[in-house]
Amino acid sequence: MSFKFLICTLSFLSFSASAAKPEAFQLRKYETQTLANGMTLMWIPDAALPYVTLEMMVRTGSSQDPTGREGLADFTAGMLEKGTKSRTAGQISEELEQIGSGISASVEPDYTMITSSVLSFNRDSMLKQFGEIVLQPTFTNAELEKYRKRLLAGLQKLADHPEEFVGFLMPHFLFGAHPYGHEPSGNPKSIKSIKRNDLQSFYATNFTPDSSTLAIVGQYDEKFKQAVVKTFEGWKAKAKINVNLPDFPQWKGREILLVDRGDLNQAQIEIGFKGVPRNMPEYLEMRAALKILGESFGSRLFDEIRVKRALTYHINAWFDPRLIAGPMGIYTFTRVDKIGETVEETLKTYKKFVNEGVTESEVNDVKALMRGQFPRMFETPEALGKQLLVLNRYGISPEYLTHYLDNLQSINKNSVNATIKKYFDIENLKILVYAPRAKAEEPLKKLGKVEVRGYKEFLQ
Amino acid sequence: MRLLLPFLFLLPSLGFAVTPQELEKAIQFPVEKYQLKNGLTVLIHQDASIPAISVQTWYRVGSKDELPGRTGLAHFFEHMMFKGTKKYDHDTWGKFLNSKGAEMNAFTTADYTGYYVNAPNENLELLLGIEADRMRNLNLDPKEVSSEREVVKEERRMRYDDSIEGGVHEKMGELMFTNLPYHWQPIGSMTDLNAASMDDLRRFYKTFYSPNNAVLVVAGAIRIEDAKKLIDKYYASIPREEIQRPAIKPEEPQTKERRAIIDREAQAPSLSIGYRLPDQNSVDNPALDLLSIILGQGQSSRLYKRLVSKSEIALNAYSGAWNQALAGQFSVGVSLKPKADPEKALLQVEEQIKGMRDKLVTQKEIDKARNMFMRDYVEGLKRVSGRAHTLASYEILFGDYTRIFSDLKKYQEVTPEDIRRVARAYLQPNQRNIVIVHPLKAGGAT
Repeated sequence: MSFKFLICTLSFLSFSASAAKPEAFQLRKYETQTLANGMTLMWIPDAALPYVTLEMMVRTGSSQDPTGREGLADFTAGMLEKGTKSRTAGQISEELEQIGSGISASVEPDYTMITSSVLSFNRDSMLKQFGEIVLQPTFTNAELEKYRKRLLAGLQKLADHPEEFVGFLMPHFLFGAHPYGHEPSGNPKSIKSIKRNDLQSFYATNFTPDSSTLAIVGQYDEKFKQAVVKTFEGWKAKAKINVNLPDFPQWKGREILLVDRGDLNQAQIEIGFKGVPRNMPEYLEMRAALKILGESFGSRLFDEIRVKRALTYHINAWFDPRLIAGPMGIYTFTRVDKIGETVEETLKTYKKFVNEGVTESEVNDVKALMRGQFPRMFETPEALGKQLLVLNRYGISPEYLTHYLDNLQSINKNSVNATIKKYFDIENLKILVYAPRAKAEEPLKKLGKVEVRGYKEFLQ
Repeated sequence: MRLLLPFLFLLPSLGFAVTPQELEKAIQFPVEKYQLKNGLTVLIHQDASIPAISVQTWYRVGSKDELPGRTGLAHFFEHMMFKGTKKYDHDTWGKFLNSKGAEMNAFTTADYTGYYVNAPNENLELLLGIEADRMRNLNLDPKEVSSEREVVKEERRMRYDDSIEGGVHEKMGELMFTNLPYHWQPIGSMTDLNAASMDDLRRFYKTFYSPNNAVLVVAGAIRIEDAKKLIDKYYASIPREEIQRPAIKPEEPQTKERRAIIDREAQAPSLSIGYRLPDQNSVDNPALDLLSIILGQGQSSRLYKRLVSKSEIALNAYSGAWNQALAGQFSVGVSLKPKADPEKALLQVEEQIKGMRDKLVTQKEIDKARNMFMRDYVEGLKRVSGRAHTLASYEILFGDYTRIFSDLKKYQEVTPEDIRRVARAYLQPNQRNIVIVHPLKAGGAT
């Protein structure tokens, strides 16, 4: 065994099996192990069901895409399963699916996740293929060109999925040329420019044992543990990666972008503003504030915009905390003759929330909601595994979970309102609307200067 | 929907060579079923792994129980179930239950309507009290109805009017079913949503929201005896009602291909093909499920290899078999690249389906399909709420949750000959319904 030693044995949440009123959670053990090459393994056993899931996090994501090569991290991750030194793309999918498995790679701005799951009696075969895919991708030109065509077609078709399209447009509108200023998928121009050596270089630099953590979840034995170690211990250590991000590109005032599409019956509306970093000390207060504003059936926005005014089917306030301040916003949609009223009332509700703060009763209620959600959020060990990986990425101790309920108990109206005052901006925000210009421009003009662009401009 | 059978639950590390009997034994999980005198079917599943419960109340009513001219009523009514009773006002299903740590929602399909609440387990009595109350004592305030009608119309715009896939789905139902009430979607038409009256809603409520038309599942960290007492306390006094469903006129066998073209602004064409299947009790359903996986699920499926990997005309190609109470559907969907020709795609799909009709699939393909099927089963069982959902769906559709366990044998027994037989029986060219989306040039963009 070449790994150094078991670094620590921590615990995660599990609950007493006594029936009616289980005691507060007990701690279930999990182990963390570091291999000699710097790779971290996280062992999370679960004997209840016959499955094994591998969740691997690589500590770089789309924010490391070079300028002009936006989408490179995503392209690279997607190409991992398109051929290895010993298997073609077809063989990989054939063999993985034969055992009822598959592999998925998802890229976020700050990290990449590669996941595979299988029934436990096929775990050895899954591990073998997972190892090959992660460690020996070949990025052949033939597969690269096939994949590029699919990516380009997929980007073009985004415009036909209105909610996804505003999600695609918003990062650039909010962040501009900042590394967070694009969706991981990149854009048509950048995808066309990516070459094979870009993929090879990105992989060589960013897929390193030192920057990778693998969570092994499910039903496994000692032999399987040894096989996992053997699979990854030969991965050669490389230079450490330092991710440096410039500050959030703060702007002044209100900007409105109307993306015109004439055939839509509904307007997609996204209001964005500067968010927060994940390691902020007031994280629980922030979560509580967002839930009160617009994250549940009982939230203010839901009550005002859907229940009282029947302007939408769905509205939510959201944030995406990252290494530095990420985005934050409010999303909804409405029929095209109600665009003005919907944006105005949403802003009014938001402004009142920021100016007047929340009530003690609201804070008590949201604490009860968060307390109730907590065990359900981590009901599956896989969800817990992903949470541990993400916490680790942002330098947050797993004690965040073990102390969660105590820390939640300590937040109060004053601390939530102080957080709202500190982080929620009512002056500097950007409004993106995807709708027919003929219906949207005039009502939006009442809210500020409107820049209008045709949706096809974003498909070039 | 394809029902997910939760087999392999509590299954020890078994290899491939297990008998159906061994598997059936291994997947058992404890469930207690009984019926109140008023006809309410109750399923209780105890699992104290987390201090949470899932309370699911499903009604045997869906859009198939609507009449032409009042489509969308079942779903519209589902929204109204969150609008309050005399005892519990409309904030109950938002602020109040949230303040108890609970989350809730509902869904309406063609065959049934389901309501669920997931909450900390100390709220069992509260949840049962609320659910029982809204089974009988809903307010149905005209102002709330008027307001919620607009919300439902927004949902329709989002899911159908501005969604290419939604529009295709709606058109496919219209093509495939001329007599059965699957001709329309649960969302209903905009005209019918506007036409739904207070009387319609009241009549619908009285007819279908009765204990003898419902299944109640209580799962999670509970004491079974306590749960039974509470269920009796809150539900036993609710009277049963006579359920009168609209008459069903069966479909005639389809002898000719049917086609519809949707011309709309789109970045790429798309192709959908649908075939009518027998009802949910057909012995052919396991073979159809495995056929659909072999044909069109995963990157190693026949459709994906042909249309995505080889000819490169599609971004994705998929097939699925869906069980429904009166008639199932077999669907093929092809998401084409921007300049691809749907007719060419249609030929390639038919070439693959013909292959299923003409030649036997290999045992290896069947094994793969079973493995993919099993993985989905286990996935659906990882949460208490997932098990509660599975129990409710089997009980509501088949009146027998134990089929979760016993149906497994049927999947184990499917042979290559069975798959060829069902392909020949149901997937002939003259039985297909085709919806093609042709992109129009953009009109409004600058």
